Amino acid sequence: MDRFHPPGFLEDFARRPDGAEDRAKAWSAIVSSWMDNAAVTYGTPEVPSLFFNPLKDETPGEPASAAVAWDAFPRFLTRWFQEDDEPDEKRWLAAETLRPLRINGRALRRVDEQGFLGEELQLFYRQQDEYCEWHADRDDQGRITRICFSSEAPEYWELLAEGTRPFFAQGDPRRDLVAGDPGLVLELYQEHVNPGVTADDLVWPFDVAFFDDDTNSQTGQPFGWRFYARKGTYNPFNKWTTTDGIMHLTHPANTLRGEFRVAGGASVRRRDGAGQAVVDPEQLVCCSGFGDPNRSSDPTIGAAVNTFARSGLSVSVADPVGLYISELALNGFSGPAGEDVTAAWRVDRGNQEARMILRARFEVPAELGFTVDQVLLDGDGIRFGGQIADRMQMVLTGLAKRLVDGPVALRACIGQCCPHPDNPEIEHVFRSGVSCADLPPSAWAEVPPVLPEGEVALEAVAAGETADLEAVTTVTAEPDVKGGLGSRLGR
Amino acid sequence: METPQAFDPDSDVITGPEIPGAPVEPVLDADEIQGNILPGFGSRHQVLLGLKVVEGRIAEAKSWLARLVPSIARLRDVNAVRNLRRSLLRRQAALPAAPSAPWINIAFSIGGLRLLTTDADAIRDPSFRKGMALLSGSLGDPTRPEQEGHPSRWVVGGAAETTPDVLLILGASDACQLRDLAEGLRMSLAGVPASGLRTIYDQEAFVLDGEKEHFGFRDGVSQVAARGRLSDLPLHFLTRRYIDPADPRALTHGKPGQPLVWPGQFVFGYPTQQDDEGGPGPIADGGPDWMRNGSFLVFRRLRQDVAAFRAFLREQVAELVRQAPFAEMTEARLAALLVGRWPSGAPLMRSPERDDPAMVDDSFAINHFQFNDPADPVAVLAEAGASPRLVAGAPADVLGHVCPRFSHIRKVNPRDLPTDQGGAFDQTLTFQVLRRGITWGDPFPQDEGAADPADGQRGLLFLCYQTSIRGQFEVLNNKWMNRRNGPQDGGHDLLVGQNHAPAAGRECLLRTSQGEATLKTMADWVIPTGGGYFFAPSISALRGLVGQEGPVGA
Repeated sequence: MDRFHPPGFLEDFARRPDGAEDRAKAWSAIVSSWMDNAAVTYGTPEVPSLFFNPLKDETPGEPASAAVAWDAFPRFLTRWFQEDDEPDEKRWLAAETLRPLRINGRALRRVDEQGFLGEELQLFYRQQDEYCEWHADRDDQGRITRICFSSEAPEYWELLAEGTRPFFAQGDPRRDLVAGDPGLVLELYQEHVNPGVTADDLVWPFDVAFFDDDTNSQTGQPFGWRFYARKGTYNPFNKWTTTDGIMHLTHPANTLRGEFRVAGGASVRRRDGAGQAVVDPEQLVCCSGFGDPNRSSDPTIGAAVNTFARSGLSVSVADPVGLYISELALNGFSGPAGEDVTAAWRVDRGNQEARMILRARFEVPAELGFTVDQVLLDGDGIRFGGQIADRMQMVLTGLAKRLVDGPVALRACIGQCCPHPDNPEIEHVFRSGVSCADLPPSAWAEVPPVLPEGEVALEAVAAGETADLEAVTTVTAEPDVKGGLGSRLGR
Repeated sequence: METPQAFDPDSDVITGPEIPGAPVEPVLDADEIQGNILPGFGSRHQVLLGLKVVEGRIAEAKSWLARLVPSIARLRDVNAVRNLRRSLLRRQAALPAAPSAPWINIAFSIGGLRLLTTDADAIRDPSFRKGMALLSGSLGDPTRPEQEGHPSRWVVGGAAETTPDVLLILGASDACQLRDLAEGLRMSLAGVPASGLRTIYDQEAFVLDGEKEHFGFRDGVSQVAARGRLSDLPLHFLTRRYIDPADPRALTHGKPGQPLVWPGQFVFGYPTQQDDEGGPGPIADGGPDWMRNGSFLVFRRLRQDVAAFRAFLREQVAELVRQAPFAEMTEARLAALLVGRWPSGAPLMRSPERDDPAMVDDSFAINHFQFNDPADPVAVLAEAGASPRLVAGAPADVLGHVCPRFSHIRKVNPRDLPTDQGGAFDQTLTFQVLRRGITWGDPFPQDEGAADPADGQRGLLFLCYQTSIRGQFEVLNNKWMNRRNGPQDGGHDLLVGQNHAPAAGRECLLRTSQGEATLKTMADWVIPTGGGYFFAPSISALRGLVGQEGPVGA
């Protein structure tokens, strides 16, 4: 293997033959840097890391591979609404209700030409956190014409639009490996989302800032107002991938960096308070502080990775790195008169045979003469994409190889879970040592599932990222400011 | 009467040792819960009668059912006979036959309940309210009417007019006893005064020699066990406990490999299993109060095409032996790989190379294995006054090189494996059901090429109890048996899984340390030919439903 390939072996780069090779090399360099970072982050001077970069592994033999599967519909929403009188209606509705984007609980604000703060921006992301998101297109009569599903990571689109600059620090020669190609991004949006997409739709029309209330260790004061994005750069929360369509994932946890946090975090063998190895998938998430224990994805991926690590094997993620839609179980679907609707499932990006689907849609062929909402599933019409997502599975492929001699020591937990005061089925990760009983209400008030106005979403609860346990005491849904889309601004 | 203080495996009231830190388990209402739910009839001979209320004759039907109520077998009745049988067996008493009693249990479909109560639709489980026929496609059944397994061709339950309002399960270990019971009921149903009920389904079933199903494998080897006590005595457990209290697994298992599950998973009104803690979860609440001490019954009438199954084995082995890693493959071995056990019931995880029929007599060893981590040796209290016996451990098999990821026992009970649902052992227990299936039809002829007197008519009456059809049976069936990547990636359950998405077929990846091969088929050898979703009420709820205690839910 000489490079990491684009997700699902996508061939977008070939649309611009002149820059194709550079762009391919750039993507490989980005993935390789994440691999290297994980290998460093999850080891200590005393306990070697069990995460490895397969591109740099020169030992003989191929690693073993193992596919890890999980359900596409957000398990958090299923759990949250399970005691509701209409649990399915509520969870399907919540899954398609967009949530306002906040950074550290603060809205993004426009910065005008003179540098003054302007109005709050109405930006949104989906409450779909299993690395699969969807959007239902409706006609002017409200009928569903198609439901598009995506598992494409935003980082790939950031590379297409902005090149390598956002991914590497000042002075790193890889920063200038390749420039962005906004035209290519526009072309793909027009092809897959809507022919009416314009170049301006996809970029920030002004500078954007947010208030960073993390403490600056040098001054002891909050960082204060910071730029989030610069005018003219790619906006990953643009309307064609949030309110009006979908091109790629938007939930802050649905990133490839997030995948590496889960896989890397799970490569560490952990011990509980009694000194026993932590084995249970959810407990491992809590103890190691990666991901969210309420999801299907993170505990399943983490447990699979950790199983190999407990055997002393080093672990990694298979090329091409991605979190894919594996398949849709098509049994149970029929047209209003019993018609076969298999042809409504169309894979547009990725590879169905290899179960590396990155984009697919459910759209009834015109010759059948009816729309998606007339398709029957267990006797019911389709009103939500979640009804289809219930039948979908996701997959990633992990690697395992023996690279470290002797047993690797168990390390203490760095996180712990606290049950929601009113809904103990829901747990969230906090820094180790926090007293669950003493958590302020604000610890739970941040992110309840959002429903449309007029619908009540029970109690508030925090949901989302747990990326940095050292820096946060409460866990909120927010973009990965330190390493994610906002990283281009530096800190 | 003096209460024995020490645990004695022969005692019927001290059925487990004292275990430090063990949670207090609820007392099960043994006079209310029907006996096939807990502990299960275990009868060698059974009859299923599907009854339909004659239009306009609901009063007669209720009257007939009311007369049946005193004959409905309760947990207390069935457990008493089970204890007697067990005691005689342990003493090796020279009896011509095990004690047998004729049992009757009853359950109602949503249609039946709507005739008997005004709040049937307050039952929360959406699958129960819809009924099996409507959900047949999602269960993976054939979708074209010309296919045998399509609901329009089912013997029972494929449409409203063929779905019983009432399902009776009759059981006895003595064939004559059962015959007398069934004949008596048939005469009563057809006799004078009018019963108000007509029989639309009448199915005889019996356990085959060696307790095997028709493909030749011992069935029912592994079951989860319900927690719960039968009296206020602290150690009077329904499920006997044998593990040395010094071992922490004594808190979670009755025997090695037999996990304890909170009874609310199977009977309404009791604590459910939590998927993250060993303690009791919320009380199982199905909707109306009268569901307490009741349970959902899932029934699938499955036809097993033994000739097709054997043909598949023959053809696949002919292919496999041409590949070096599988040159030694045999039909018997391939069949064992599909099941995860050998015909005797011995698991591949403990006997990977050959069958070990002796293991079937060792109930402490036969289920003592895991997949993700090794099963450590475990001490059990097998005999009163004797030292604990050490049961050997078994290695893990993460990659499925010993017991494939597609094998039936690994698909429906992944034990300690992390699954696509986000959890592992504790969560997996929340999907488990109490299986009460029994074979129907004469065995397939042993002699190669012999005529089949049953003309292919044989199979399994799959019956299971749970408190959530959506969250238990349908997870196991739809998400795990029928999907190639649930609960882990590796293939469909080729033994019993279905995939009738158009032109899809079933496939799996056979992997060993030497190599891998894909097995694929478009054929079906387990064909659904009937079924339904039912609710088995408590005795007092039954009285209310048939009008002995006023209308229910009015």
